[in-house]
Amino acid sequence: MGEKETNKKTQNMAKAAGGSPVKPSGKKKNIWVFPAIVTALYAVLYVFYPSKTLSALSYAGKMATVIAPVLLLVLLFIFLFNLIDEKWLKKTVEESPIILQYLAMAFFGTLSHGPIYAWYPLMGQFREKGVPYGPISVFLYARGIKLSLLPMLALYFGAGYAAALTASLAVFSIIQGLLVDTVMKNNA
Amino acid sequence: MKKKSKLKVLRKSATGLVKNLPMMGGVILIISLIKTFVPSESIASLFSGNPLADTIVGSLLGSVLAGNTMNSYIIGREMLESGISLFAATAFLVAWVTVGFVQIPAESKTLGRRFALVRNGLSMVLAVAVSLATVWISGGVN
Repeated sequence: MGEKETNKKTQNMAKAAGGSPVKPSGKKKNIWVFPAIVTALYAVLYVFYPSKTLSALSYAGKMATVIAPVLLLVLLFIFLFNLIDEKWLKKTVEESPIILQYLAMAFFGTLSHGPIYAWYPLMGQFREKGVPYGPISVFLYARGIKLSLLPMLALYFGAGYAAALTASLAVFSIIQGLLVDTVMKNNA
Repeated sequence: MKKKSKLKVLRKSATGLVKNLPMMGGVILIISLIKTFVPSESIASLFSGNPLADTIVGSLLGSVLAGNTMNSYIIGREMLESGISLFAATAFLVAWVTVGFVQIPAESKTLGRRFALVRNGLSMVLAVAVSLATVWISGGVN
């Protein structure tokens, strides 16, 4: 199957699933522009604040070490997701009530770990397979619920506050999905 | 269901992830810069004492800053101890975990610029609503 045909198929699937398709870019996006700008910023800051800049670099190294295991988990999820047949997924997405899609994504978002940007590739795969923007935004919003940090949140702000914040985030993740779907469909 | 070669799928999955690594690296570097160059003590000085204005400032601040969620709890607690309202501290906590201005380039690349802007913009506004709901439900901090 040619690339052109695959792109057309992906667009049609996304359209059928209730969202605007991810348009294939005509020109290849340069993935190095942003990191190059940040690296240049480090170089400039190093001239004026060498110690602080090195400290920031060291912190970045620590962050990368923490993120590495999360990326392995993400790779596993992407792999499992890629094994799913596109036609079956498209049919399931189309036939599932949207609220069920929101609830499932809120659940998975709550269970996910690590920084938000580590999950973008998986969300990109979801999108390419026709999952609408709403459930994707529900997943990203529900990531704000940190079950593993609940004891710390309760210790700092009280158990009642921790429960109320967690419940509010869960409810508003669904509202976020509804709003994103509405806005993206209107702008499609 | 047509069976796919697992090795082929794994290679495709790994390639997709690797393509995102430069952007992720950039995000990590920029977060580290913000964390190092903007001390948490200086954050409290941005609040005026007006609950509504402070809640909006809390949401904006949480949207700009990023990093480990535990840091947001520590800063949030510091905000309360400095006399800043719980509404503002909550908006800050919520925006910290749901909005990511520094991650918009990476999010745009994967999911589209319009989606990234809409999602982050809505999340910033919703941080104020979540703050109101949380404080109302909990009745404040014990």
